[in-house]
Amino acid sequence: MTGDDRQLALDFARAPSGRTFLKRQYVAFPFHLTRPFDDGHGLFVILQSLGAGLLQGDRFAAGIVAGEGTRVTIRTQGATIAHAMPADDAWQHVRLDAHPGSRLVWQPRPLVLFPGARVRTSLEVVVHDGADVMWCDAFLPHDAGDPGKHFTSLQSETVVRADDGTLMALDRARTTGRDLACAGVAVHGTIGLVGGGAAAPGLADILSEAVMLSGAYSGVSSLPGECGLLVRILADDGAMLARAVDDVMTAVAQCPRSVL
Amino acid sequence: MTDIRALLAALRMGDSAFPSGGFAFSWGLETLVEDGKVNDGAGVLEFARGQLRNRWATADRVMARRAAETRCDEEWSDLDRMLDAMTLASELRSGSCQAGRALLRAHAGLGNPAALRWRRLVAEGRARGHLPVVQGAVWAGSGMTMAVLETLSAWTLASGIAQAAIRLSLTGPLEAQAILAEVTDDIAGILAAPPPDEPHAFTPLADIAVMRHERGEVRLFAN
Repeated sequence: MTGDDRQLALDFARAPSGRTFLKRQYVAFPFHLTRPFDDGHGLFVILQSLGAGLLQGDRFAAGIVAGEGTRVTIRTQGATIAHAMPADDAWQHVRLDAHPGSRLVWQPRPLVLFPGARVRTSLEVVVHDGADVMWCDAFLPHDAGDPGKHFTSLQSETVVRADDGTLMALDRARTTGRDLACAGVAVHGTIGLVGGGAAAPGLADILSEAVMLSGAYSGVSSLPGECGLLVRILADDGAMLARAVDDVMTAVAQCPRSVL
Repeated sequence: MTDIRALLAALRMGDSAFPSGGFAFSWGLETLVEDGKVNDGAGVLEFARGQLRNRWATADRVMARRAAETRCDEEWSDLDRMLDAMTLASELRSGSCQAGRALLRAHAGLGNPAALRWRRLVAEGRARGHLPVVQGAVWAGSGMTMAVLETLSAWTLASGIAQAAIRLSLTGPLEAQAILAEVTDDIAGILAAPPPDEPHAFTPLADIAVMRHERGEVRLFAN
């Protein structure tokens, strides 16, 4: 899903002063953008949803472009609830384009999968030379007061490409609520970092120690071709996941040549 | 190849005496034991089933089949690159490549033409030699049918896990055989269903274990 199908298109640019500003925006239902502000590290944007979450038949797409030399952090305000979908599934697609010298952080709250939910979610990251990108991706099943019921299916894909189209990393998973319950998985989270910032000496060890503070079962490893780092998290609940993500973000922010 | 000859070839290539280097890998089991996530034979069985259903059946099998269905160097390289991009834990990548290259060495030594071509691809930096695609190419090159090739690929994974469990003192040899007998049904069930259109994998617990293994102090296995 691309082009005119998008409900959200944000284009960030760098002003002559060096500050990042929102150059162009297209925001349609269900998205709503709060007023961007400079948090001292770059432009900070909070994305809200005016809808009830993901419903059957939803086809949402977003495109975010971090122009040359920009610094952008985008967070969603709350988790996205995926409701029961008896007749059709729901899709959501996000594309991030990080141009040379930009630093882009994409930090959505988790996807909460209610019984009967059928969701396809994809994140496409395009990294130009000298750009740094950090992203989060998390989901958790929720029985919504109906014990023993599970979400129907989740198809999740994160693909990272260089600007010439070269495939750098591909995280493609398919699972069901029943399989997750059998495996004892409560909350699953991933944090990815690509670009030169992720190659900072010792960063993998720093993140490994940081994420363990939350109590989550977690690991950190280098991505294929040493293009970045990946943090995997299995948490007991959403609060533990949030702590783990915060611990990683803090550790990254404190690191020299940080992405943040 | 007659059925008996195909069976004998599969037995020979799947035998632990065949120099494929599979003994060096636990695919995350070593760390899961160290972290208290797997403590006994039941845990080993669950781990083996998870690896077979959520990684081998959905990713390795697909890539092995695709590698078996072509004789084109460029397609082999593309498959190898895709598998590399999909293998997100460093020691899973290195383990897959080490095992694949060991298999290549053995088959090249036996004069398998596909193995000789694959070794050239690796030497030229056009492929890293990931195990599933090497298995598909080399075993198809030795005349195996797809059904035998797939069965052998799944079996070597299960067998490797069982051997790792014995070396980690999780099970004795007899219990390991009982586990293998159990997963026989899983493998048969997987092979009775068509493979997915696109490769995918979801083994978060094992992935994390392999990632943590990188920072482990005492390591019996390479992953």
